[in-house]
Amino acid sequence: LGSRWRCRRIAGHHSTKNQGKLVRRYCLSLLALPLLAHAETPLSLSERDFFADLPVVLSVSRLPQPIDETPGAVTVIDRDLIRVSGARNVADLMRLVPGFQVSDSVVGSAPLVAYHGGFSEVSNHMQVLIDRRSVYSPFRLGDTSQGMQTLALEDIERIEVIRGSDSTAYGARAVQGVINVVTRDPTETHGLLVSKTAGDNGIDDSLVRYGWGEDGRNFRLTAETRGDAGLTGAHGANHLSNVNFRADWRPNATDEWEFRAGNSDQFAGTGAAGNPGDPEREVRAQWRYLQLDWRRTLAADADLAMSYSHTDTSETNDFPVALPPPFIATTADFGGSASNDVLSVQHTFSPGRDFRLVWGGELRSEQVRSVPLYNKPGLSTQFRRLFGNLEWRIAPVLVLNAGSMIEHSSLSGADSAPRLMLNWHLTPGQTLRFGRAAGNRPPSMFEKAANIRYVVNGTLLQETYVALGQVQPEHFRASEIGYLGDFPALAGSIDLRVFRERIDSMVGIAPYALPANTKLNPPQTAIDFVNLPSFVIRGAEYQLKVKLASATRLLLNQSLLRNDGANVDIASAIPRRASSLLLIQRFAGGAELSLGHYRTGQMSWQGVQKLVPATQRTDLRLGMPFRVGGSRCEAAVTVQNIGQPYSDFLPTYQFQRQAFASLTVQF
Amino acid sequence: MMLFRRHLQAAMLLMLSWPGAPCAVTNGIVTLASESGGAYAEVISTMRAELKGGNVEMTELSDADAVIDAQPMLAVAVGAQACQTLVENSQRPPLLCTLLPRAAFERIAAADRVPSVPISAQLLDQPVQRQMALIRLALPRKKRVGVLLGAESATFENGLAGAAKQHGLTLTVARISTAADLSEGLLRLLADSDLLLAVPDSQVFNSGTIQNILRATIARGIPSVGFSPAYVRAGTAIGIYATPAMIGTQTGQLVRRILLSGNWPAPQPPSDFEIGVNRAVARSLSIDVGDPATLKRRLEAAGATP
Repeated sequence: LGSRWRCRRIAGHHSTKNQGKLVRRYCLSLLALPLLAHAETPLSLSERDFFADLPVVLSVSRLPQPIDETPGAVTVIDRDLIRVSGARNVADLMRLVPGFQVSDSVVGSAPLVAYHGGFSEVSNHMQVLIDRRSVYSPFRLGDTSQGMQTLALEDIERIEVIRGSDSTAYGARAVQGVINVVTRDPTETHGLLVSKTAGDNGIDDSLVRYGWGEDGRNFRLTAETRGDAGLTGAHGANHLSNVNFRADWRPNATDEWEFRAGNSDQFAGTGAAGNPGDPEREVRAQWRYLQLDWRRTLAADADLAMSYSHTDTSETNDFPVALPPPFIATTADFGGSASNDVLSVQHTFSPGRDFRLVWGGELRSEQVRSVPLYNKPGLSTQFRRLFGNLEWRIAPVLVLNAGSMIEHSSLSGADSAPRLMLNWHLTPGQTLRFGRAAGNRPPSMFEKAANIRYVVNGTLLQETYVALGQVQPEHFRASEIGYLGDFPALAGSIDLRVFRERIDSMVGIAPYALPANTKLNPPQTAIDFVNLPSFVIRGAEYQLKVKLASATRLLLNQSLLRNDGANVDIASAIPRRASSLLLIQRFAGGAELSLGHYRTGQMSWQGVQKLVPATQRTDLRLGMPFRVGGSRCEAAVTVQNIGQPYSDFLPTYQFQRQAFASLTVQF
Repeated sequence: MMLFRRHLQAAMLLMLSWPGAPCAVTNGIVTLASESGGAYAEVISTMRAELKGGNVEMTELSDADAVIDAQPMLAVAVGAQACQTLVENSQRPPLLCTLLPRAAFERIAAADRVPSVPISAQLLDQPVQRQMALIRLALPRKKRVGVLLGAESATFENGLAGAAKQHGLTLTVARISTAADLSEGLLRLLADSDLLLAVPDSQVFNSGTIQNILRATIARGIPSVGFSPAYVRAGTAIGIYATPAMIGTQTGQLVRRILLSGNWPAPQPPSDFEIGVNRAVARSLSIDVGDPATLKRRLEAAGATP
């Protein structure tokens, strides 16, 4: 196919009749060109436009799987929804996904998301991918919340949220699901875009984006800053700056190259006044990455893709400590850095008319460097992953997905995550889905090897974390029944998931009495990580979308969660009820009014163990598009939490009403 | 004189159709093809078959002067370039152009140096009525038909709008005047369309733009309707088109009709058609368009065939 294209290019540039004939003969004889040799110049309509060969654009891996044939529950948040939601970051958008919990607290350095319970003070039970690149940081407990902040909402085409374990496709860490962010195609973001948002609580966001390119080469550069004063009651002022670059190159009809690079500098307030062990301070996280992807279309039903990425992260987190004599004042430092290199390959093809197979492998090398956290100069983990999923259309109305992932980690050995899911189209537009999926999360480096020691002048004063390394991977096993109904007459659809999730060996903390021979005086107790007893989460969640009138849309999510066998701490992390509603009204002239209402039952975030009362919040946004000359603009006003302040993350942290205005101009 | 000429034409046709007709009829029918092989050869061979193997001479484009010198009763130009080459010659014979799009023929015919000499065409474009009928049959829930119209297709807007209206559809149009307009025009169009109907226009649809267009449609869950098998293969959910063999057969019929009647009809759209379905794309879009043979039968039964 590649040769065929080159041939066309030669034919398009012949200068004399004879040369043209010669080249044409060469093409026809050597490459058996079907129908016509294609001359690319001049560009005036002819029969060539009907008979010339075209590249396979929508090859098998380019085609989105229909939502009623995916082997799990998927919620899609598209650009329209992102715009009308009034959200300022990706975490904020997860309020629109059934079963999710969101916190605006940046105490762990960035806003948090969790699914079916706040099982950690950081977001470490889901995989977050930005254009296939994992932003799961191996530093400390493992975390995706900083990674989620590394790109601008304006660059996002859509977010596909896979609810429930998808380790089969995305490896360990996708134990409770995947937030799959797909950025906009650079061909669609040509030109200059400028956006400014300002308002209450120090909200101050700016964005500049420029996109350019032609003839298969397209580029985009986006720079943004975001900042606000955070939750009241918390030392939570935060600001960040992101720069992201993307270059796409299609040298021919079958190959695609994509290059991405970026930098994110995030500052977040943390700590508490009057706590000398955790004083108010600013934590800085820096991210740098580059990513190179290559994809070749082998045929309409076959693709080969390879990807390499390198990510560096570093964290600056220190504060002065005043000590009694004879010690002098010193600095407590929790900083460090991490990096990873990932090489992956994926092959998609149809082994038969009713089959589609995706298989591939990944090599991942992770380094964590932090003497303060690990009492070692550097630690390394190697992952090897093999995965495969076979889609078998047993009958036009029955689709079976069977797959597994086998992953070996140098830290915790080998593990697998099989999945079997059957989608049954009862009638056109009505689908039942049932099956089982397993996932696992290997302990993070911190859970496996933490050792925080306070040493001054060579004297060990305190040891707070001593991970003995006995902790084993967490295992999730989910059984689910899903129903997807599409009701064209009512202009509505429903996505229902009823599930039972068994969680074995969830990682928790336990006190560890330091051995008597320690130099510590008096003997102290440190924190170790252990596996907790098994428990079960049962529940149901749904998303209802209805077009109430030609210009009125409603989105309604609800989730009900119950647990069996969870200890009191874990039980308190699972909100029994949550719901969200988004009502969107479009007016003549394009103005859009959206009303969002979000409720979450009482819950706590693990690691903090402070019960946060049930919350409710109402947001209102009015957006107005208009044109000035050739520029497309939108002005919008958003009020978040119109009602009373509510507690977030901790009972004492409050989300106050805040209003902000934004102006976006596309030149 | 006219009567004599008609008799002569009938006699010529008889000679052409007669199995034992002499091989060298210098002033019979001469074909000039833009290129050899491929679709051109298929058109000529099926046209010959339709004319019962009569004496149809083939000439290569480089020998276009030979066509003029032969002074044939009728020349058949296969492809736009062949058509243009003959039209540009003031000595051209009566000319039937085939295997070319309507816009190309109209552009070429507008520069005709001898309008008094008959000229007509067998076009490639499917009638818009048939395209709209197909959309109604295959994609009954898609009511807003989006089209991208450039300089070569701008004149089709009224015809498209009228046909859409007759089938209970609405037409949304993005006019593309420069290549730079395409991206913005496409995104604007897709925001107000349920499907995209590809209309032949080399500035809008070509091998360089098709990737962006089809990716943008699939990302928005919007099916496209193409005008060639290549489009279906590239990623339109469905396509309706005439094959070279269909064009060749119909060209042969047109030649016979002209020679028998002496009347030159207006440029003809294809009477026959084929439907292509990209199952993977249709499945991805959760649309069930049925199989191509059934669709063709239903479309013919619906009376969309002129």
